[in-house]
Amino acid sequence: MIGLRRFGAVMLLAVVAAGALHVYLRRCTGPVAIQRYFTQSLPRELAEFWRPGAGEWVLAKPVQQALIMLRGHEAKSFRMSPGFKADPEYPQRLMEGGWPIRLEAGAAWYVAFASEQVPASCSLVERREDALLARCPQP
Amino acid sequence: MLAVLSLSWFFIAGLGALPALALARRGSSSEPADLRLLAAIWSYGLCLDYLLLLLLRSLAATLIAGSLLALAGGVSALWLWRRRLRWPRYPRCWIAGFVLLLAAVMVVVIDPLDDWDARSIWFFHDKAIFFAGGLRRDTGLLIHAEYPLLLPGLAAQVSEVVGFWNEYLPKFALVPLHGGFDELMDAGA
Repeated sequence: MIGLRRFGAVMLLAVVAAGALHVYLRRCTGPVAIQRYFTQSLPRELAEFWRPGAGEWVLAKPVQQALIMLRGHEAKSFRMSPGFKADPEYPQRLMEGGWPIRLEAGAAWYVAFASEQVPASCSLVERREDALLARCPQP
Repeated sequence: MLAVLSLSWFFIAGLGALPALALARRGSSSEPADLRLLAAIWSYGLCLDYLLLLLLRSLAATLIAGSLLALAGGVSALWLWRRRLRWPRYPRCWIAGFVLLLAAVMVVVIDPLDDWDARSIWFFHDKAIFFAGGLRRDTGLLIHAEYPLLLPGLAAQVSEVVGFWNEYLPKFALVPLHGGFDELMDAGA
């Protein structure tokens, strides 16, 4: 049977192999990038690994903020401004990131960039640095 | 939680042992240590799990039924093949395979979902299945609904087992599905 010491060595080897492989896959070239990986990226990811909903930092800032606002106001569905829909990445990421909050044409909650005007019939509920949330009458 | 996820190996292997036992009784001369048999058991296990999900339509029911079947299959296989079980012939190769497997698991799950197809199709289906509790009319497979649900189904089961959804853990489903076991097979071969 494999001894405890050998088992520990195997586990350590696995961690080192994983770290090396991950550094390679992340294309961390140069000592600064590798240092940043071990001092910033890896600790952050290991810390949030077990949290529900973790990992949304990969999304664009307006999408992250829109998701926080939609969840904060317990929205069941939402729609987007024409500006938000202009770039295919934003509606796609918001729709999949916000699920089970559904994207519906007639929804009362309205998401837009912070720089956009809220439609006249809607009232602003919350504005953040990059995104805003408004409440509109349902058609 | 890692301990719970590590049970997935026994879950898939136990499920796969059932068809392997049925086929072995029809005159197959495969040894339990035969790597092709192990690979076949793994494939059977994945297919049986997928079949259970498609038939039962519920994640909880699939996990319960799958666990019972896996327990029955695993215990039966160990009992029926008990005389033929032996320690691996090349233990160092298996240890190397185990190290590679652990490294692969860590590398796979340590990054959040980022690529377009992964987020928008495969793991979006997983998210929809998880939040609906299974395959239902209102599950919401909006994009490429015709795509196969083996990976999303597995990933949704991972989320169901841990009890929540985040951008890391569902990727654990990629390990049993793709790389990990292949690497183990290669290392042992």
